[in-house]
Amino acid sequence: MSTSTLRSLIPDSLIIANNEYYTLLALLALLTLVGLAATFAFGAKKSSKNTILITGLPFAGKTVIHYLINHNRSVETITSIKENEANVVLTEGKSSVHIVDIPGHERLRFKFSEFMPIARAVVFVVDSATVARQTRLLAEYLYDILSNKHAQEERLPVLIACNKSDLITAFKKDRIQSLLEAEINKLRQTRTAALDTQDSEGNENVFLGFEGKDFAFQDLENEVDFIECSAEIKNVEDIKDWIAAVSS
Amino acid sequence: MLDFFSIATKGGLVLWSKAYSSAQSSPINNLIQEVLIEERSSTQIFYKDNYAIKWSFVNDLDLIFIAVYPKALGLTYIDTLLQAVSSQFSDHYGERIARKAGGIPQLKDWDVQFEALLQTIEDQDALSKKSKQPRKFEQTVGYTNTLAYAKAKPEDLKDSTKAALLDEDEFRRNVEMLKKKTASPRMGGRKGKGAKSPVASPVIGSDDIKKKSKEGRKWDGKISAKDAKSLDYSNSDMSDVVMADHLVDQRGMGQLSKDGTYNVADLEASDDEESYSDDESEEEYTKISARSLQAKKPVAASSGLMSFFKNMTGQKEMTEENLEPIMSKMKEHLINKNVAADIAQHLCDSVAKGLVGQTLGSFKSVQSHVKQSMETALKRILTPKTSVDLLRDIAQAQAEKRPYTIVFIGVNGVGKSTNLSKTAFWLLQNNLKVLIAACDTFRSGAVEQLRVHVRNLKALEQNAVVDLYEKGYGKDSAAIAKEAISSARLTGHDVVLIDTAGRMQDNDPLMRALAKLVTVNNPDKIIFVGEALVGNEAVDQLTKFNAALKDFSGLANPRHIDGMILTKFDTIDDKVGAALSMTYTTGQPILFVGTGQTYTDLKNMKVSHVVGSLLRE
Repeated sequence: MSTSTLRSLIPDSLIIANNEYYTLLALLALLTLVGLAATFAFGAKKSSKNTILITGLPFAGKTVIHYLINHNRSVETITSIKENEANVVLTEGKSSVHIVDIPGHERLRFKFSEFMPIARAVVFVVDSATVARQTRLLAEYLYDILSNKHAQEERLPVLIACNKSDLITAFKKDRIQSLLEAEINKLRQTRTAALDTQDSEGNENVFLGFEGKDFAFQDLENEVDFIECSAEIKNVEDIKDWIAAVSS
Repeated sequence: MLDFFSIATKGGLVLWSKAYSSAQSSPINNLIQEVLIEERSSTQIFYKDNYAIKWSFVNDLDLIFIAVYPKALGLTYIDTLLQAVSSQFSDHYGERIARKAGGIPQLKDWDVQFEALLQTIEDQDALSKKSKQPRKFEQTVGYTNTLAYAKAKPEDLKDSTKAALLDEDEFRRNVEMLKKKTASPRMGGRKGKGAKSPVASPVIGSDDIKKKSKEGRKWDGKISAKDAKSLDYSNSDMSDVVMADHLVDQRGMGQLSKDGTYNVADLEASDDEESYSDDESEEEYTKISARSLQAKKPVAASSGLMSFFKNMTGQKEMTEENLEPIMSKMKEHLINKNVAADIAQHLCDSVAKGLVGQTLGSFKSVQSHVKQSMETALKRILTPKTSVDLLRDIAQAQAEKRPYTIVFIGVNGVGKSTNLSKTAFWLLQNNLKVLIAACDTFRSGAVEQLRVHVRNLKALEQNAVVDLYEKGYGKDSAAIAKEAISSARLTGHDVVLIDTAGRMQDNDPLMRALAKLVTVNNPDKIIFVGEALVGNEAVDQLTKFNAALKDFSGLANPRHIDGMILTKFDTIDDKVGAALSMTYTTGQPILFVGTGQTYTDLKNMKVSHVVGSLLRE
């Protein structure tokens, strides 16, 4: 059979004109390049753990702090539905830090656990003025962060940023620390006594601190620091310094 | 009118906001927390205190547009406004925002643009209210403000501007002619009449005017066609009469012509839709829409060029059309997993709303993207928004030296007593003293069943303190519960578990009795016990139980269901839809799931497990 008869057997739509080969080739080359670039970019992002999480209850001032750190601008905010991400260079000459502001709403909080595997450190923002009313909520969230598998394994440093320190009703950081310690002390009793989850593969609940001794942050293997700050008067330099210190 | 308008990112950054009254941003935070985060955005409007709030999304830019207005006003143009504002805003600043992802974009001139837009839409609304033909107007107003209109009819717009120019010329000619004609007293009289019936009269003779406006258009055509003729015959008497009629008609229509240029706009508007809309705003609006059209054009061209590459890399924008089949499949899938039908619908609508307009990343299918966002949505819904740490609550009550009370409610045969005793077993293991109040005074054997449980529990734990408080059958359950609680206070029990009779949600007298029990005793937790086997019925049960607690309580702050126990969870394999239906309906967490026959078969629900089961093929 000659080539012409062979050709006639193939539907016209399948035959590619010579000039179209070039376009296809060019496109293929382009695609591979794009693909490589993408995998490179993503791979690099995941492997080097340079992510700092900003966590905390709603209305603590996470998003404001996020924008202060990344853009040095005070912004007006509403409740976040989505996390805010940004890359920022904090110290000249150092590589950039990836900062993620996690929404504080209870229903969206689970997102922090998705970022834990790539986290370098966690900033936990506390509203110093309402801390007395919210102690339990704060402690529960903080407990979840501290007892997270990654936080335990990697001994992630945690910064407790006592925001809104400019307010007259604001608690001092020592007082906040003792409030949180007392509450976590109670929580670790109840949490470890909670029912197993269905299909539980080993108890994920860890006991924070030492048994038989009241809970104290210094008993943890994680480094936990307390600082006072105020996003209102743009006083977040301490947070920046801390982030720069842990990510270097 | 409008109280507050805000443009924000989903990340919570307010890009632009304007307050027209002293409304704070708090209703907006309520909207986000109570509607958007709960995946209830398939609803259209949200009421909070005295405010009504409407919103719209631009998903590819992650923007939310929120309009707040007083509830009492019931403004009808808010939808139009949101639509117009969101399309114009994303046209103007979309690129800038996309480029500075996560940054703080500068919004130049937006204030002015917004004001113009708002003014236009408000004016149109005011006019439509004045006229007695709201239907007709709604059509035109709504349509002119949509982007679809601007896209669909760019030619029309051009035509109308052309027509406007023609009209101007013609008008001048007509005026000249009229000057010539003023010699005729008859004509002068007519003119005066015309001047007295101004444009502001549409209310009375809107119909006539409409007709006239249409006639006017015909006239326009004739005039321009007969242009030469009119010039020719200017001296002829015959033609003069014809022209005179002609002029009268024109005048009656466009009376404002004496003001000068705006007459043109008026006529132009009349050409298209309404002869009596506000000229100024009308023209302004046409300008704006024309501008936005121009802005749109280059984008469209580039997208045509880029679409080839976008298709190659699988990068495409999600539209309602290409989401529709996938969402309906997803809905079917959820229903197959025993999710209540209307909840599946709501959820799919809400997820679709959050997806429309997003562009897919390369190498991603729409299907997988939908699945991913559905997973996030499910996680959001199922994650408890309040603490489910019951032991911590009990410790608090202990500190206050009072017994902690839990009421178990539900329909017949779902396992209230069984799961009550499982809960008792868990509490006993934590060294708490438990009192069980037998408030099912209705079904024979109910008290005896609890007595057996108490005996078993005592046998299981040597020094467990668990007692039964019972007063036999036929008594008022609310009173028994009350006595049980006060006795627990005396005997030093930490927890009182109150067992109630099962009742169907439609049984009014029994529901009243339940509401009374709750009102009288004000328990710490009201736990609804529901079967995992239940399908569509779950929604009905929960809403009616909640409604009964609310309606029959007579309290200012009525109680509602605080949490749920999902029983018979071991019997349903992966058809775990009831868990979703129940949490979505109440917004409350599932505290435990019952997974078997023994006292230890009470577990915490694992959200990821349920989400996994729901999405498994």
